[in-house]
Amino acid sequence: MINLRSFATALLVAGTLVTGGLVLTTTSGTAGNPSLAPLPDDEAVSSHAPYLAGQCGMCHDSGVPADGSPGAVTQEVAELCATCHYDIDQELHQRSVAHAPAIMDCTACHNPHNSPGASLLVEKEPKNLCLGCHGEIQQAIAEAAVQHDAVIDDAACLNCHNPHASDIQHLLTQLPFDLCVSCHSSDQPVEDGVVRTNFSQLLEENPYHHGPVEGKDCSACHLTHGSQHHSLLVDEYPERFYAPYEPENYALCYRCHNEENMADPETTTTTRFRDGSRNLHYLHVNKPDRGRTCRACHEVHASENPHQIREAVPFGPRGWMLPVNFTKTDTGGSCARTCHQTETYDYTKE
Amino acid sequence: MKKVSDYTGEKVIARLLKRRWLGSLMIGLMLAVPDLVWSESGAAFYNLEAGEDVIENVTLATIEGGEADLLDPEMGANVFIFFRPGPEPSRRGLGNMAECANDLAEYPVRWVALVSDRYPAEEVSKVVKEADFRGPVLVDQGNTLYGRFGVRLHPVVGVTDSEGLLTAYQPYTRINFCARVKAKVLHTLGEISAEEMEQRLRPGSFDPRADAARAKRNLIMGQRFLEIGEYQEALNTVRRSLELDPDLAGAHGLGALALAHQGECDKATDFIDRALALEPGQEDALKARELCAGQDNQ
Repeated sequence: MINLRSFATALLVAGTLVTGGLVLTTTSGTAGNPSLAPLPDDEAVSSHAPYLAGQCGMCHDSGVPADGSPGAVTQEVAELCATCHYDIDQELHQRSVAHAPAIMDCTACHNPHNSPGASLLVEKEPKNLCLGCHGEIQQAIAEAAVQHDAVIDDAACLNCHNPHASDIQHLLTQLPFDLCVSCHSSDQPVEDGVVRTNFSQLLEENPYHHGPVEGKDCSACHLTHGSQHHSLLVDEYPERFYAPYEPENYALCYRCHNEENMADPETTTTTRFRDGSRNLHYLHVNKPDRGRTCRACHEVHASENPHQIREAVPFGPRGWMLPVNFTKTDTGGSCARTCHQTETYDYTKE
Repeated sequence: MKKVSDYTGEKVIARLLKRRWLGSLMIGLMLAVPDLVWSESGAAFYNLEAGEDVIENVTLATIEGGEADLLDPEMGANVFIFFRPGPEPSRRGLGNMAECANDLAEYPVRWVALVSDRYPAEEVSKVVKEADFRGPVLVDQGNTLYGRFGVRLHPVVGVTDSEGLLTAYQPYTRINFCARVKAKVLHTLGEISAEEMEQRLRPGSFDPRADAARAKRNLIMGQRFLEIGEYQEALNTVRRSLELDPDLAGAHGLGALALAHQGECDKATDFIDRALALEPGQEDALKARELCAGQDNQ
């Protein structure tokens, strides 16, 4: 069943087309109506089988175009396409998220004769077709300080999106995590020679996963189309171990985690990292010069320890890894012979 | 079942420790079958366990100055969302819940939001209005419920049945937050099975470029060629279809029929046999056999 949003978008597109605006104004793109005339054979990369077979009558009134025109099409375009492409039609009507142009008019993206691109797409590069309407994405890609290879390579949008329909928001072909690990699970260097983190292995070896990782929702923290922050992060996150406590430094984490965890010297509700009511988060981070950032103690994706506590932290100019030796107890935990002498905490203490 | 008001952190930890063997087994399974990695346990509330804990109903002040209960026992399901007025995930999540409430308007579900008393009422009201959230917005004085439930992050959703049993929780996800909550609510109401809920939580996608899909599409086009008497084109299309899916019974049957119409019954025999082997009673193959039998009699 098509959801309300898709239906509303379809109505919006229909309204725009009916009123003569040929641009999908909802997304501020620049797409116009593509020409559906056949290309010369030598320019065509893909051809529609009935056209290639000279069977104009499969779609048009006149089987043999006597005056150069094959006549009108015999049905509404979407219905006509669905007579053979029944599977696409089925998907459009069964999935919860459908692409409005796909419901309205297949020829918004496909030339029913032949085309300069694959799959009869009216553009040679699929991404140009998408960005023709999705202007805000084009802008995000163009203005990104950090770009995502998956967005700018050949398949581009089709790496992650199904242009027809899906049961996942934004027409994703899989949940974000499954999409991301389809590339980010390799030990092979990529084009720039960098070996990226093998997330499948990392998560297998480290049983304590960050919530969004468990929820298969990488997009909770990463902007896939491009970002102003390192690692395609959605918001500010310190790259350094120490930083003065400024809430802006923790903007990424505070999107979901409560800033009150850090703000109050005393609490009995907002965090369990406390000794009695003494807030140990506050104690660690609230230092004007050497406040510990989140990364000082927590791994962001997965860890061998509860609460994603790191095994070790870099210490000194040579980056010696100083073990944290965290032990979780029934009512708190301890860090032993690490940045400090062994310290224990108990959040049930009166 | 037990009430959360009797609940202590020690009991939670002790229970978790007792189940460490279960955790190890789960991790083992997760490694063996990556598709099973779908536990979101522990990602929402420290002190509540879905399927075990009953939430005590409480009456709280609302941002509009009145009072409202956390749960409505008259409803088949109660949904509560902890949010903050500032961060984007909370605002977006609240909007998602408003959409969900609309989508499930025909079901007996109550939707409430919970916000800390630290935030100015005007700021909260503005965010609630922007999200178009229509349920009561309860003020959690001194983060009392936040601490009692052990909320880990914002926004987070809890779902209870009519008796207050926590049936599910859902930490925020940017993608499919509403779809996930809806699946859990419908399961709580008994409208969908556990299996269907799992399918909704792990949706797949359709690939129109998959060989099987293209093979079937070619078969349908071949059938249209046959209908208009273009037997050779029908046969060509059948061959394309069989290249993509050699075991598509319908394509073998259609090939047989196209050949029979062209009087090439000797060539049609293989197609007929293969079609009937794959699908006894395959209609086009039987028609082709009949057509060829008629030609033999002539």
